[in-house]
Amino acid sequence: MSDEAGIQRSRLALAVQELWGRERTSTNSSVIDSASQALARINQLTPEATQLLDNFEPAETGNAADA
Amino acid sequence: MPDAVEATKRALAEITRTEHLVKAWVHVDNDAALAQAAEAHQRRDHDPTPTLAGLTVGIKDIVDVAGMPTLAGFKPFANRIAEADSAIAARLRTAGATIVGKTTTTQFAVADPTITRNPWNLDHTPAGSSSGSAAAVSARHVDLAIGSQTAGSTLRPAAFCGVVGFKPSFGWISRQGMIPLSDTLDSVGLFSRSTTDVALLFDALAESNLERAGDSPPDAPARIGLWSDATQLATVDVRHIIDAALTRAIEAGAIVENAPSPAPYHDLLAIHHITMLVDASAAHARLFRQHAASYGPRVRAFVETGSAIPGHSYVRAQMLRREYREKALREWADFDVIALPTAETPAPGLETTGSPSLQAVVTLFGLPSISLPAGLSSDGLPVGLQLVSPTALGNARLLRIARWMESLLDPLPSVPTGITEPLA
Repeated sequence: MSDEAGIQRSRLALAVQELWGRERTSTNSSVIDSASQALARINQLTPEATQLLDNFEPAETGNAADA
Repeated sequence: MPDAVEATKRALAEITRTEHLVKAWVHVDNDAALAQAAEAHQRRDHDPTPTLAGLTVGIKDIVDVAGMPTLAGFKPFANRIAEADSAIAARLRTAGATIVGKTTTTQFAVADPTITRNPWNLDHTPAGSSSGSAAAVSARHVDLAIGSQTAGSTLRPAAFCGVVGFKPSFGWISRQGMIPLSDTLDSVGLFSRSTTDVALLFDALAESNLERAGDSPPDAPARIGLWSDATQLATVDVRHIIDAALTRAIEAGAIVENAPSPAPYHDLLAIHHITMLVDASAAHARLFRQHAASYGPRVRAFVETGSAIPGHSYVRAQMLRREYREKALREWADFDVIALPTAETPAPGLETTGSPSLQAVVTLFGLPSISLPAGLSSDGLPVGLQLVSPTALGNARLLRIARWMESLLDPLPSVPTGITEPLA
């Protein structure tokens, strides 16, 4: 599992535990794994609609007003 | 036109003969079926509308049929009898079909296996979630069956059971009276043993007359796009059978070229997976809180995990879904049809319903797709060829191309090898 997928897995597992408060089963773990990997993949992608926002990098202007 | 009463009697006899092996049915109503058949038989002389008169049909047990239970594999629904027909059942009656009963489904059309067996080998799964519908048509219990598809729940069972499975464009057949799993993915699915019969069924159920498939001759495609990124996920055995089928198409005059994937295939699967999980959690939000203990392990995992996925991730997945779909339609515009295996493998064992990987992306895009029996694996299990329309409004043309392709393929043995008793 990639680092990103591992991060997603930790978050997702915690969220499932907090929401449902039940003991983790092997089936739950398997679905959490697959969902984590899917989320990691989706997080690497940039929809065209959000390209401007996703790819924004502030220009280095040295202008005090931008600080 | 077949005699509806005799056809129904044969169907009921066939169910009696092999149901103990196949276990495809949740509920069979002999009296209601024979009464419907008698009425269709009486109508036929003065009413030309019953296009399905003489044909028997099973309905997946997530779809309401008035007076029959809709259990969806869920114990708390044990006493739930549908008060009214779903849109599908109503159209089937208008068309003169004989509704024989309700076929097995995985719980809420997810992935916990049913008790149904594959008629080709009883130690193998018929797939799911439309397990009973595929098995009932394969076992010659009924001529037609209704299923559904959220990932691969019509085409994969059709492929594993050696029958025709058709998923029309998203929204083309009404889902009114069908228990939902995913509002953005659920489609009605159709089963038969021939493209001719599935076209008749499609025409009877379609909400629009814009596309009529039943009367048209086969259509030979000039250009077939092989979706290589998807195809490479299949086993060598499956790819060999698909290659052989496409070779027949080439010999008949078609050109087969590579169809580009709009994105890496696993990215597309990721989008489908997140969509399905979140949609499932939305559909079951209230019922799950009341009856969690009655949920099967896989359905439970879907609902619990889906409810924990951040909303922004779901929305971004939908943006990507729309963009990749539009890209696919642009890149596939010069193809007459897209081809790939229906499933990565033939039917596995009973502990699973198989992998939806090769069906799910087409479902994600809402495009019409069909599975045709293409041959038997080295283990004697059916393998399906999947054909996909490269346009959303391509149902009728896809069915005509499928009829052409079907004419090139050798039919499977008429009796599935897992059923030992002779047919009537």
